[in-house]
Amino acid sequence: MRCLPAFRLLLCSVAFSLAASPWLAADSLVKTVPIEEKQEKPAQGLILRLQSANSADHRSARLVALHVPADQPVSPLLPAGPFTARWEGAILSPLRSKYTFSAKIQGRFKLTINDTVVLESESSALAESKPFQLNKGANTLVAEFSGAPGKDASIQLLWASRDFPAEPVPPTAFTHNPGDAGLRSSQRIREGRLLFAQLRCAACHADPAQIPARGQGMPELAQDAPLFDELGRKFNENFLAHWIQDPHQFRPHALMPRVFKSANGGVSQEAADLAAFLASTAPKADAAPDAELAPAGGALFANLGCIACHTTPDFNGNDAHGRTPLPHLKSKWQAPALSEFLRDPAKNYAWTHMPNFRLTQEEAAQLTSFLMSTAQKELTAAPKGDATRGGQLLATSGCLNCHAGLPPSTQPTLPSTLASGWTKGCMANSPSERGNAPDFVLAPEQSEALRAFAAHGFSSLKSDSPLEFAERQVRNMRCTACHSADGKPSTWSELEDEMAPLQAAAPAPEQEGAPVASTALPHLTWFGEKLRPDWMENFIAGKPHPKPRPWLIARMPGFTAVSAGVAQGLSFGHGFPLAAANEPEPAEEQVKNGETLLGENGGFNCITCHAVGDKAATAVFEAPGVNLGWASNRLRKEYFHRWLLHPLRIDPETKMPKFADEEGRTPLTDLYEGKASDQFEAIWQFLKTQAR
Amino acid sequence: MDYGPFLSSTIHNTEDKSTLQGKGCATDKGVTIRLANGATMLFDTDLLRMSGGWTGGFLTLKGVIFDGKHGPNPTPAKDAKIVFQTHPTPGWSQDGSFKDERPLPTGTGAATRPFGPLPKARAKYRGLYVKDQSVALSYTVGSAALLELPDSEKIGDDVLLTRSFHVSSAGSAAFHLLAAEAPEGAQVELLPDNAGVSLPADPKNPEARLFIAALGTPSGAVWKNTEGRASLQLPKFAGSERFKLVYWIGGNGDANRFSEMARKAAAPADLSGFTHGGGTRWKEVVKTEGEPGTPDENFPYVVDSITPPLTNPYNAWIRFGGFDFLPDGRAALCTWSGDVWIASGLDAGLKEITWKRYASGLFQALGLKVVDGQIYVLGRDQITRLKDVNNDGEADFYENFNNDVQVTPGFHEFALDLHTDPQGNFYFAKGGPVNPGGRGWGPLSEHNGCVFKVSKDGEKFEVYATGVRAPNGIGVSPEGVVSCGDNQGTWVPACYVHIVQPGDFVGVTDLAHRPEKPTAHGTHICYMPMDVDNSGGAQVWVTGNKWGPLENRMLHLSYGQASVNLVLSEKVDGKIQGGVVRLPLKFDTGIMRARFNPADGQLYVAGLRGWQTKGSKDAGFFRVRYTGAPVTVQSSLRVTNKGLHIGFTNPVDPKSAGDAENYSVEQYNYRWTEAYGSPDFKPSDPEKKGRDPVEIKSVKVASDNRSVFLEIDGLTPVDQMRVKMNLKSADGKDLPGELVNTINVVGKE
Repeated sequence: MRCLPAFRLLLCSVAFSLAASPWLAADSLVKTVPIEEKQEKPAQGLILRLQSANSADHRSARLVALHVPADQPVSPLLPAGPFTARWEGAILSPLRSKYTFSAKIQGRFKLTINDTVVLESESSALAESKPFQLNKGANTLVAEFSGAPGKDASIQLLWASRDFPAEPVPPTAFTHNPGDAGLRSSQRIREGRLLFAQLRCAACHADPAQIPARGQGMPELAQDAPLFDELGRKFNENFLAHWIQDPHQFRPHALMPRVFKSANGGVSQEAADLAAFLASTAPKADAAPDAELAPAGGALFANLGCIACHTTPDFNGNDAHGRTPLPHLKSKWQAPALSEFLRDPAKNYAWTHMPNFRLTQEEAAQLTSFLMSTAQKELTAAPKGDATRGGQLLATSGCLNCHAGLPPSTQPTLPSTLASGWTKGCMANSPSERGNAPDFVLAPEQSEALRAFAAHGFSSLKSDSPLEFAERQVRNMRCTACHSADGKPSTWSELEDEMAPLQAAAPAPEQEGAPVASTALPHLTWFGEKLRPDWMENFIAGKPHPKPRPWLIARMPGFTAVSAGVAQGLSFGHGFPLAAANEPEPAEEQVKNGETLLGENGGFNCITCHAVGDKAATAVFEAPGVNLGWASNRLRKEYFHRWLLHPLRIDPETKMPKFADEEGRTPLTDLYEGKASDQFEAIWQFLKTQAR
Repeated sequence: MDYGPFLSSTIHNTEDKSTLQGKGCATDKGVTIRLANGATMLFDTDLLRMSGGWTGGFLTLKGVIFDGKHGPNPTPAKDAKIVFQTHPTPGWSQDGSFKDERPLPTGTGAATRPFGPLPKARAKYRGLYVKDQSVALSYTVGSAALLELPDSEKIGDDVLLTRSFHVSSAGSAAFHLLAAEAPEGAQVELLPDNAGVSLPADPKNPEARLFIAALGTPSGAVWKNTEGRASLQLPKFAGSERFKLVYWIGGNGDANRFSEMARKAAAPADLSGFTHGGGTRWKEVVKTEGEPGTPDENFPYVVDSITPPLTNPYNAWIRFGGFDFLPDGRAALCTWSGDVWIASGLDAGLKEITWKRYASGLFQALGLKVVDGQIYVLGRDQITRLKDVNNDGEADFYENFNNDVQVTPGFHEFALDLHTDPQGNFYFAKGGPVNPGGRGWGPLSEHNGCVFKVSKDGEKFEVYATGVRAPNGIGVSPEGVVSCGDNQGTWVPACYVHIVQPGDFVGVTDLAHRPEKPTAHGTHICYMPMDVDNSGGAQVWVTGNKWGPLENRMLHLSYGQASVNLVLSEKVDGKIQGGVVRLPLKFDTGIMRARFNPADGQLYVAGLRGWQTKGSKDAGFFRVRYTGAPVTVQSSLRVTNKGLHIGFTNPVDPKSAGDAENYSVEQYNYRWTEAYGSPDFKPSDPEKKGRDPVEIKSVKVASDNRSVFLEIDGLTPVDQMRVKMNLKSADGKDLPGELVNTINVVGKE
């Protein structure tokens, strides 16, 4: 359906009046500023309009792809059950050219481009369109999908052209109007919902009726705060005082609020007392790191990718990449504890952003030496603290609500905070209105987002969408700091100038076969399609495993708290269920042919660059390949086929040759008459017998 | 594989060390010769030295052409019992000195030992004769010319290694002939009465002793011991001397026994018969049937496969490295494993192609040129002129046409492609010794990464250009314009096509061989993205008018993509620039050599699978035949400050060609660094990776429908532009969908 903007606006407001109906808190006392429709510069991706029961929701979507198990909602803002999904926006073509669209569907699907129905199907098989000509530039796209009641719903939209074989239509091929009122309204609610969870509002403001029990519903509600564990031997008391006084001066995105008021802008007596108490919990255990290790630590800082999320400790300015600054590090840490922390960052804080790089003791010592020797920022001396008073403050200031997970004590309940329209206390815009409530340093739009969420109602906290969890955590854990995604380079890959001096100070030995420093990591764009969820979960969790790319110094660090959810969500986001379809046992001959095709005689000679299990690659030159013994453990078959058919389409910088031509034929005509898909399938079946 | 009577290659010593360590039989340019009784001798054609002799097998064949492994070179067979060895040092003294006066390579990364042949005045390798299964070496020492026959004889149960010499022309100076060297620290013992020498044979076995005697020596020949080196001082040669060295390993007290055996050995032979050829070695020919291609309605060129003799009685590994046509229309093709095969029956139907093995044992033959009916093959060690002395269809004299090129033990410094200019000068290229893993270089010689010119008579060898990485193919136009491509890698951000000027620095600074490191690379016609060319092959100019409307145009092969690309170029302000259009032709091996056959005027291409390629067959030889139907392809490109002019061989459909929506243009730059290849960088934001779209303001089709003008504002020099187009010809055929180009200079409209 194509409609004039004004008509669309009307529709959206209709949708919103629906949205405020049965499932939601119609009687909320919290009011929110309405969002108006705007026509803005097109942004990547599509608008996804969802409807379930009588409620509507909107979000941006990277792909026309979904997998929703029958018992789960398509969106946390909607109830579970039958839903309709409608992607709107434009599909781009670099020039006028013909494309064939296809869809893998469990449900009903209709694709309309430039007001022409291109594909309409209701099946669980693959539906394919006739060649359809896209105009150069943007073509209006509407894709509509509905699942069958009581069944898992799945959709993946693919396209093919004379230049490339069928592939999921990539995020870079879609645009939408980011000023869409429905989209922005729903985005605001989502942002408020996430803030509510991450700022742990419910840790202080209880409401058992609306907030699910810990471990249920939205996963981020279970997000912890660091445990107070022997802080005295980790941190310096003066730093603790400054941190307690104003966490945001050290970390712009800190979740911790300012709890104590400061009369003069400096550290308050309360903060100093509390710091004194925390420091008294263990004796200081400082020791100067070995300065000679610093250059090696600097090289690690660059080559492991620390630099993608942190500016170097000697940097003290505004960073364009939003990295967490470290100039205060030496004022903060006692060196041995920093080393320990680097080796196990989640020890006292499961949801920490800081992942586990499985550093050796030596690496941790090198990094510690580098960090401590380059962090020059000194802190002013805080007032002398009184540990006894601090101990009392710890109990009375609500710290333990978050840091020890104690039940809410002195604070007003959630319903009573909302009674004022949620503009007082923590939510107040000015210090005077805030009174003694903690200051979360909320930006006005963050306050607005929290209110929009409250206005929408809290019931969405009771459920979640794995797909959205993955999207949130990809942002939260800064996956794109190291992985390029959706056509955008990674932060890390743009920091080569910063890395060069660090690398030059401790050059890696030029040794044949030694791992190399590189920021060219796999693109995140297709992870959900590429990797098997079970493998992906272990990989994201940083569980010990042989590195798929041992030739890189870079290593995937572990993000344990979110690994399962992200793996599941990425999979759903690409339209795949968790379990692969069962395959019949391959015929012996197929396996044998697969082995031939993999090899040198009569095959593609994949073994030149790829090891297979314990058999080393025969002659790697510049571009080693992943050990194929892991292929069937790691990869989805669909992706494996797609990769072999046109590797450069997925990774324009890959050295992997493309063996299949535009007609899907390879030069090896002795087997399967040169039909690439059959040959690659045989290789896959052989690789399955090599699974590790 | 049966490599024939000898095999040319770089050889590592018994400790698997190269000449860079300077010890034992390690040899840069080795000819390893099979002898009777399971014995082997290894000759060094640079130093004219017999590097070693052994019994118990031939070679352990390892390295890139044998097992695909990067780095290793063959060594004496695993169970070889070394009889004698010499260190990498000249095999003949000058003025009594064995000093190696070859200059050391210079510059950053240079090796610390010399490479290449001895000065010609001192000694010169002339080639080798093959007679039946025996090989006689021909060389000069000073002004004297000799033939040397390595051999073995059995006396009772004992095997003697022998070196027979036959002087064929008189020489002016006296020489010492290096016979053997004692293990480190050991001394040579002169046997009484100038009867020979004995020396420790094996450092691990004090009992073993090498005995050497000389038979039939001219009077005045004296055995010498200098610093562990056993040599035979020889008088001035009168011109027909024949003498022989005999080597044997026995125990400490076996001197008399050895003398007895030496007396029984055959007298020094007359070797002159070697120059007349011998019996036929490869009587069986191989017949194959070609596979004519099927015409494509959009493109009137057909790829006919001339089926190679992949299965043959000699188990020869067929991977074509070069080819050319003999005056009678037959083709001569060399293989990476060192053969030359002659293919006949290249007629229209290709029903019966006869393959005859013509030569073997060449050093990684990757170039071949026929001049005046004679076959010249480029090996890594030399250009060999093959002569069939007795006209039995097999080469008998493997003549050293020119061996001035230097060879290091680096596995990747391939010698690539052989062409001549109208004056008859030869050209070829040589890669840099890329390390086994692909990055950086091994110790360098003066010749790594150069294009060379060799005079028509083979006497003059010069470096024509420097700074190439591994150009798997060059080209020389009928007018003598030299070109090359290259492979993405260190200092090569992407593959390119390049016109090579004399004295040119092409692109790889580490291989510039200049006192000052160049700060800019040469001017390439164009770069090509990875999916167009990830590993370049040769260039060839379309000669004659039998190959459609593309006469005098340059074609560039992509070895990696197994494709043929039409090169479009222009000159602006004296600078060349242009682009390529990939022709819709398919090949099942990595094609890298191309020639037009004077007999039929059609394009022939050949190649192999050895390095990475999308081709998956070990070898292929193809004819790309023009069917005669009209062909419409992009044929010219002109870049101006107003936009792009693209010309076509025939009229295009003005409707599709005149619609801007049917085009898209994007552009990006590369970074010319020592990194392996380069990511794409946005011209609009040079520090940012990515590509920029280029807006086409309008499209105009010329009145004859033979060209279009894409109006584009603000064109500036850029490394890579990609122009995609969905066009039809006036007769309704699809045109190639993309033109990739480089802008070096923006011309004026």
